[in-house]
Amino acid sequence: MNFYRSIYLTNRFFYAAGFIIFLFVVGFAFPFVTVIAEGLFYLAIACILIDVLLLYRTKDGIQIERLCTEKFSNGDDNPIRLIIENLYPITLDLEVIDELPEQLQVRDQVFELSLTSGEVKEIHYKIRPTKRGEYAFGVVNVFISTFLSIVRRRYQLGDEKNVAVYPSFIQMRKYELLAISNQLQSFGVKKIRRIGNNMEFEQIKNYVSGDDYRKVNWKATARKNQLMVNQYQDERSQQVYSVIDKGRVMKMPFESLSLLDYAINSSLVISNIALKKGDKAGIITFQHKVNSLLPASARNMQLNLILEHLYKQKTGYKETDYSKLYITLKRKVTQRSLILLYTNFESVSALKRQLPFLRKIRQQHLLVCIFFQNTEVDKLIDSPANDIEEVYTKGIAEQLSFEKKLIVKELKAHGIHSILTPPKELSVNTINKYLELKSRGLI
Amino acid sequence: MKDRKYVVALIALVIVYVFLEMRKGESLDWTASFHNRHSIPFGTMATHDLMKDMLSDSAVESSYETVYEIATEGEERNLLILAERIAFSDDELEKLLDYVNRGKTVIIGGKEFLGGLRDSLEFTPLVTDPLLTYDLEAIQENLAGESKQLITTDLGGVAKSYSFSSVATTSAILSYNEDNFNVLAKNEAEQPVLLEYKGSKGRLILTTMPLALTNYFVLNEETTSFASSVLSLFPEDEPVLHVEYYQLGRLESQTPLRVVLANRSLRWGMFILLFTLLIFIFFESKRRQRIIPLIDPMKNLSVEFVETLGRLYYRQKDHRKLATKRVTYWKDFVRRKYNLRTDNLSNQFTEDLAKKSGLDIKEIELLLVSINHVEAGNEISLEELMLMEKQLNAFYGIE
Repeated sequence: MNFYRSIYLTNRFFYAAGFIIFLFVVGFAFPFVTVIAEGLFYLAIACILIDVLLLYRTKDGIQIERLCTEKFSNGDDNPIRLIIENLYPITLDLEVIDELPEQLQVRDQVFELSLTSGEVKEIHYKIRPTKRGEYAFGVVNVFISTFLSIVRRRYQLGDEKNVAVYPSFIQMRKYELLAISNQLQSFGVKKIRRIGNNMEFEQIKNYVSGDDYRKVNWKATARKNQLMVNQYQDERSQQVYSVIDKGRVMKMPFESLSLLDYAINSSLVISNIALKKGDKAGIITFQHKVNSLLPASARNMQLNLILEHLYKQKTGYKETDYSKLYITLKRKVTQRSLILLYTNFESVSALKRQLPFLRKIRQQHLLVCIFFQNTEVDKLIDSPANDIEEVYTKGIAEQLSFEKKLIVKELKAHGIHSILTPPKELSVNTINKYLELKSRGLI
Repeated sequence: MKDRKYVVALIALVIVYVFLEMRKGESLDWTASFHNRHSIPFGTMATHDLMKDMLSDSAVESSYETVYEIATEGEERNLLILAERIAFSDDELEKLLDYVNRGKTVIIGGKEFLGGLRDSLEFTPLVTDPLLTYDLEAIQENLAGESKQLITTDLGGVAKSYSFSSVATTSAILSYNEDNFNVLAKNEAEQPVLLEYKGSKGRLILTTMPLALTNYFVLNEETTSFASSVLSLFPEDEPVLHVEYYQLGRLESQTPLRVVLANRSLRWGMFILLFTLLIFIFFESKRRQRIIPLIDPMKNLSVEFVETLGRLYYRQKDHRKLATKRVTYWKDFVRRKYNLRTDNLSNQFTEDLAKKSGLDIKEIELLLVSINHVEAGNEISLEELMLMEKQLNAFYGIE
C-alpha cells in the first residue's frame, strides 16, 4: 500500500506505451514490425523494473528541511529556504512541491532541480501573505526520478509547521531605521523646517545644509572654526494613538491586502517610531463599538504588546459608530494626544455624517484623519474612453476622485489634519505627518 | 470513528442479502437452447452423449454456421438441425436438398416450419398450443402434471408408443403430400410428428418434436428410447454435425473488437492500450499534494461601482451634467498642478497655462472653447462630449 502511495509515473512511461501500441498497430500491416514491438515491450518492462529497483533500493534517500522564521510579516515577501540532500548513489532529477498554507491559494508551485549523489542544494522562494493569522505549512513532496525517468518515487518529508502572520514588522524595521537616521528623504519624507524654539537644548553639532541658520552658535563656531548649530530636543512623552476603524469601509482590498491591514501595518510602524522618539504609543480599534484600547505608554515591552494586540484583531466589518469612539476617548484618554484616525471616506456626505464627532474629538486632541485614494478608480481616470458609456464612467470616476480632495478641504476647514494617500504609501505619509506635527510642536 | 457503524451496517446488509439469495436456491432455466454445452432441461448435452454412445465414438461436433455455408465448405458429415423455428431461405433450401441428394442424412427438428421448406416438400405444420412452450411456469406445471400424449412410432416395422408431456408435443404435421413422405411417428390425433422425405438419394427426416431430443426427455426413462430411435436413423460410424445456428445464431463473440482480437499484433496493441489506460487511471488520479480548499479572494468592487453609477447617469442622458463634472475636475487639476486661478478663463490664463504646461496653445484654446461652451450653460451633444474627452486626454497626456 505504501509502495502504491509513493510510486508515480512520468510522461515518458505513457509515451513509450503509446509508441509500442503504435508499432503493434503497424505490425498488423507489416508483420516483421510486430517482432520489434514485442522486443521493445519486454525491454520496456525490464526498464520499469530496473527503474523501480534503482528508486526503491535506498531507504530514506532524500533529506529535506524547511527553514523559515516563526513569524511572518503581513503584506511583505517572506523568505523560505528548502535544503535538500541526495543520499542516493546516483544522480537524480527532483520535483519539489511544498504544501503551502491554504490562505495563499497557490496550487502550481513546483521546483525542478537535479542533484548528483551526495549533493546538497537550497531552494529559495518567497511568499506574500495578505491576511493575519495562523498559516499551516504541510509536508514537502519530493518526486525523484532516475536517468531512465519512467517511474517516480514520492517522498513526503519535512515537518508540518504553523507560522503566525503578524502585522508587517519588516516595514516597521525598515522605516524605524530611516526615521532615526533621518534618511526618510529617500522615501519622500521631507525635512520640515523647524518653527518656534520651545525645545530643550540637547547638543551643539556641525552645521549641515538645511539646518536653521538662526540657530548657529557663533561662539562655538569661533572655537571650532567651523559652523556649529545648537540642536534642541523634541518634546517627549507625548501620546500617539493609532485609532483604527475596523468598519465596513476598511474591507476593500488593494493588491489583495485590505485597507484594514494597511492601517494595522502602518499603526505598527508609527507606534514603533513614536516609541523610538520617546513618545507614548497606544492603539484603539473600533467599529460598531470600541473593540479594544491599549493605553499609550513608553515602556520597553509596549512595542511587543502593540504587535500582539494588532495581530489578534478580528474582523467583522460592521457599520462604524463614531459616537462610541468619542465617548471612549473622552473617558479614557485624558491627556492631549495625537490621534491618528485610520478610516476611509468615499464621499463628502459620508464625512458630513461623522463630522460632529470628529470636531468634538478635535477640541481635545490633535486629530489626523487618514483616508485612502482609490487607486483602482484612478486607473480608470488615466485611461482613454472609447465610447460614450466609458466617457460617463470616467466622468464619475473623476468626480469621486475630486470628492476625496473636497473631503480634505472640508476637514481643513474644521481644523482637522488629514492624509489622503494611496494604500501603498500609507506608512511613509503617516510618518511624514507625524514628524511634521512633532517638529511644528502642534501636539 | 463515527463512520464505523455505517460500515458495519453496510457489511451486515450485504451478508443478509447473500444469505437470502443462497437460501432461495437456483431457479431452473426452462428456455429451449438446444446447446450442446447446456445441462439445462432443454439443452442437448445428454443428447450429444447419447449420440457419442450410439455412433461408436465418432465425434459429434457443433457448428454455428448456416446450412448454406456448411454445404459450400465441402462438409461431408450428416446433419442434425434443431430449433424452435425452422425457416430456410431459398438458397439454403436448395443447398440442403442438394446435400441430401449427395446421399447424406439430415434430421431437422422444429416446432414451427416456415418459408420454403413447407412449399417445396408440400406439408402443413400446425402448432396447437403455442403459448405453452414460452411460459416457463406453464412448462413446469405441465411437466409435473398428468397431461400426456401418446406418440406411436413405426420404425423398421416395429410399433412402439411413448407417453410424452404435452410440452414436447405441441406441434404436429396437419397435412402432407403422401407421395413425398413416409410417416415414422404419429401422435394420438393420428397426425405425423416424425416423417421421412422420399424424393432424394439421402435421408431427410423432419420431426415436429425437437424437445424430445433435449436433456429432459433424453434422460427421462419413459421417453429416452424415442430419442435414441430417432438418432439411430443416422447411419452408424458416420460423424454427425449438430447445426446450432438456427437456434443460437453465430454464437461467436459479438464484440465489435472481434476483428482486432483476431489478429495477434492488434490484440497485443489492444491489451497494452487497455492496460495503460487502467494504469493511467490508477496512477494519474493520485494526489501530488494535499487538498487546498477554495477561498474566494476579497474583491475590490470600486471599479464595478463606478461603472454602475456611470450607467445610471448614462441612462439619464444628461450630457451637460457630466460635462460640468468633468470641467470641475479639470479646473481642480489646473489649480493643483499649475497653481493658476480658474475663476476667469481669459486669454491671459490661456497663455499662462500654455507656458506652464508646455502644451500647444492652439490645443488649449480649442479645449477652452469646449469648456466655455459648457460653462455658458448650453446643451451638450454626444459628439461634443466625445470631442471633449479627446481634448482632455491630450491635455492630461493620457494615451
